[in-house]
Amino acid sequence: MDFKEAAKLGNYLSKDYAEDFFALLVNYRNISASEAASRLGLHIRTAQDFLEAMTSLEILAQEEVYEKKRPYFRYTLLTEHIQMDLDLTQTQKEQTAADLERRIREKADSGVNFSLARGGDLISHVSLWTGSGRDRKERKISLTQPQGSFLYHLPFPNAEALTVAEIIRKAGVNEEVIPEILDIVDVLEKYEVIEVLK
Amino acid sequence: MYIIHKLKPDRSITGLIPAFSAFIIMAVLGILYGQRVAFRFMGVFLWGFALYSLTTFLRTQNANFIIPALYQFFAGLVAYTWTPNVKSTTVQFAVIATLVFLVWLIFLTAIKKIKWRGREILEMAAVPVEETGNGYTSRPLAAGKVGFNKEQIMAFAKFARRHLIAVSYVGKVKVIFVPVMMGREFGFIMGLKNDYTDETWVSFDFDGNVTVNISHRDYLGYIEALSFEQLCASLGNLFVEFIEMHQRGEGVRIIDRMDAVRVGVFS
Repeated sequence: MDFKEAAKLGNYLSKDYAEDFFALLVNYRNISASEAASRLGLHIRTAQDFLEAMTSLEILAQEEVYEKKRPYFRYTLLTEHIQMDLDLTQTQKEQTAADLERRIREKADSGVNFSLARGGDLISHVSLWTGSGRDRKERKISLTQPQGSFLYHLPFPNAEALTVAEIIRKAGVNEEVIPEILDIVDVLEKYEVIEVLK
Repeated sequence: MYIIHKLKPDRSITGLIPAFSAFIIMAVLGILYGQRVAFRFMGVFLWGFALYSLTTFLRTQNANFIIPALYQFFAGLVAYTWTPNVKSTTVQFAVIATLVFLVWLIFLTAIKKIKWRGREILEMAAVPVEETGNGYTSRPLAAGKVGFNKEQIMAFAKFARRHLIAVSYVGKVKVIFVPVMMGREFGFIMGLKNDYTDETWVSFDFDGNVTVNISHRDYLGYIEALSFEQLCASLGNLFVEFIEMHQRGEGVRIIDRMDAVRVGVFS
């Protein structure tokens, strides 16, 4: 199950009526949206959405039937157990040699503000501004200790750029936390705080 | 040695605001309540300044600040006890003392003994920087490692404080030097500036790491957008050089070098 499917399932499972709905599906051989809605006191559209969502997740089977030439769907439970198996490693950033060899430095006039941590030898958070005029908003990104130390050693704008690996070495950051370093590099590159030189 | 100034000319009147304000208030009081009240106000005002000068002496250990304190005390006494057409011995003594300490104060000012050296420091830091190109960042620069021990750094901190080169913040693992320009010292002296991070500073930790930060305000004070990294590195090197000179017992040369920058006595 991927994250989107898990989110969809979780969303419907969290509804007040979910348990009663599944009780109906377990005890009825098959059921239509209007039957379920009337039985549970729901709007038919709500019942229909629930049943269609469960069908898309292959928990229910949908069968089209006709009543006096008018087609409608009946739903049958396909499984007695729902397992949510989410592989979180899917979201882990792939770390390639090219990622570490990117030559980066702070971008000039990025308008960002770096705040020093109390000790003074690492950055605690980065404040950046998005939008313009009345829609201008401040976004504050709090940093982990390795990220703070990494950004502390980031070359200045117009200074000679260093590779990510070189900055990691300079900052004395443990190799185990490289994924979180690459994550903050990507985020700051997206917001044009860091520039990657070819 | 002739240095081409890279900072914009100092046109700040911050230092004159208290004096101007005092004269305006004195004039208003004179109009509303008469001369005696006006002079008494000026007397109290000058005593307030005498206390401030004394606090500066206690904070910096620069004994020269006793002179402005004494001048302000006696000038305050003259103003407070001033009565039209009455010439008491006390007032006559206070007038003489005021004039003596005023001359002494002018002398000390002229030879820059009571001048905060922040401007000289920034000028000296900019000397080797030829490259321009902005590149300002609010991050400090890790400027390298030196081999000074805690005692050496602390000894220089004392020297820098006494000669008004920089205010020092002593932490558990490091000492931070904040060069202060004339007119900006009030907050530091009165203990209102507990957070130095927005200022220009140079930090030496006891493991030898040197870190430099130049504030945006100070960076904008330069005529040209000097290469920020080079400027920070130069400021760090300047302090390293100062500590080395101080260790060799050449503290007087540090002062000579700052005097050679030829910055105005009120800048």
